[in-house]
Amino acid sequence: MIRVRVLQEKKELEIPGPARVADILREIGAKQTTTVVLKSGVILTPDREVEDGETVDVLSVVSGG
Amino acid sequence: MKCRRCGSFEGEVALKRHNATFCRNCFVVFFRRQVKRAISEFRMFTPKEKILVCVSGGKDSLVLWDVLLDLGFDADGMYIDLGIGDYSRESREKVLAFARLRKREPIIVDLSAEGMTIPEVTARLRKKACSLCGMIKRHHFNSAARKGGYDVVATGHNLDDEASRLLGNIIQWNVKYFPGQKPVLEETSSGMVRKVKPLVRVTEYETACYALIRGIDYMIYECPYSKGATSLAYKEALNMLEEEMPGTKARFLFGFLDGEFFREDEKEESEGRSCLVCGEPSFQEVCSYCRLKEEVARRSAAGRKGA
Ligand code: SF4
Ligand SMILES: [Zn+2]
Ligand SMILES: [Zn+2]
Repeated sequence: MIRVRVLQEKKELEIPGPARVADILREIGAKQTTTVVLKSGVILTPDREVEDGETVDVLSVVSGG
Repeated sequence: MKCRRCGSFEGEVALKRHNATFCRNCFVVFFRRQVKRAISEFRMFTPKEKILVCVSGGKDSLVLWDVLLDLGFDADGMYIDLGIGDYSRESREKVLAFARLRKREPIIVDLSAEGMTIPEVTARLRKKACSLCGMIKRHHFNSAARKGGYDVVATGHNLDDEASRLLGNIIQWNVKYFPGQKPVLEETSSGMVRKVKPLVRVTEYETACYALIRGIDYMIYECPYSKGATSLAYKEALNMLEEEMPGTKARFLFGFLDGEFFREDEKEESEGRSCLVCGEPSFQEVCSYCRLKEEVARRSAAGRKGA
């Protein structure tokens, strides 16, 4: 399983690994244009593969108001 | 993916609209160039001018301050503490920590000092928090800029902010607001300081990547009053199009800015006189900020009497 930490919502999800970043985003219903995915502080491009057992952080970039 | 600029295989930031991926170092170079380009092509300011940056603690304004300092501009940050609970407390800490790192002294305005925090004001007047907040912020930034001898006030509005505002203005056919969308609003004889948006060429995604790569610790949570803001719906609509057709947001905004959509006779209405109370530019004898302040004070006095 890949552990996905959705930072702004303070929640964690698990999805089956390995998976590409683009697939992880689709899985959690987030857009590539508005979401940054990080692994240990490094930004991952949508084509990168995340291994089973790894943890990624998901950050929405949309600011409101 | 391979970095387009240096060829390294550590591409971190993929930008579909530019058909390019950059490694972290090359992305920083790319980003600063975009900001520099906006500053020069719209003639925002020169290296000799003093800039007041409106900082909120969010990614856009801190990134703006950071980039301006790195480009060698004389830029001071100003933070307005809106008194919105944890949101304001945390944002203020982010601003102070950033300023300490960059060895700059920020200007801090505390609305609680004059009984004008957003929760206080909205409790007295049943109006939308964001429109009151916008007016209060404009007043303080302009007034501080004039008192501090700044030539220009810079805000962190990015490509997404501006494109979504344009979409809103078009959907509502608020043609009278079109001139206000220019990335530079010139100063007026009545005392409005020049306003500029140096991040107009970069998206929210790019700004966030820049903050993360540069290690800028920003406030990732939103103001509680922003929930349900219509601007978020417009952003969402544009991002749906952007996913299908990369570059849509930039074409939409710059097609407008480069086009012939501003009529010369539609000069912005400028405030013609000075407020009798505070001296800021105003349409009437007393400016809207001072009138609001008086109204809030009156109602809270009435509230005390009634209690
Ligand atoms: S969301 Fe509204 S109330 Fe909150 S800071 Fe922005 S303008 Fe002010
Ligand atoms: Zn590179
Ligand atoms: Zn006034």
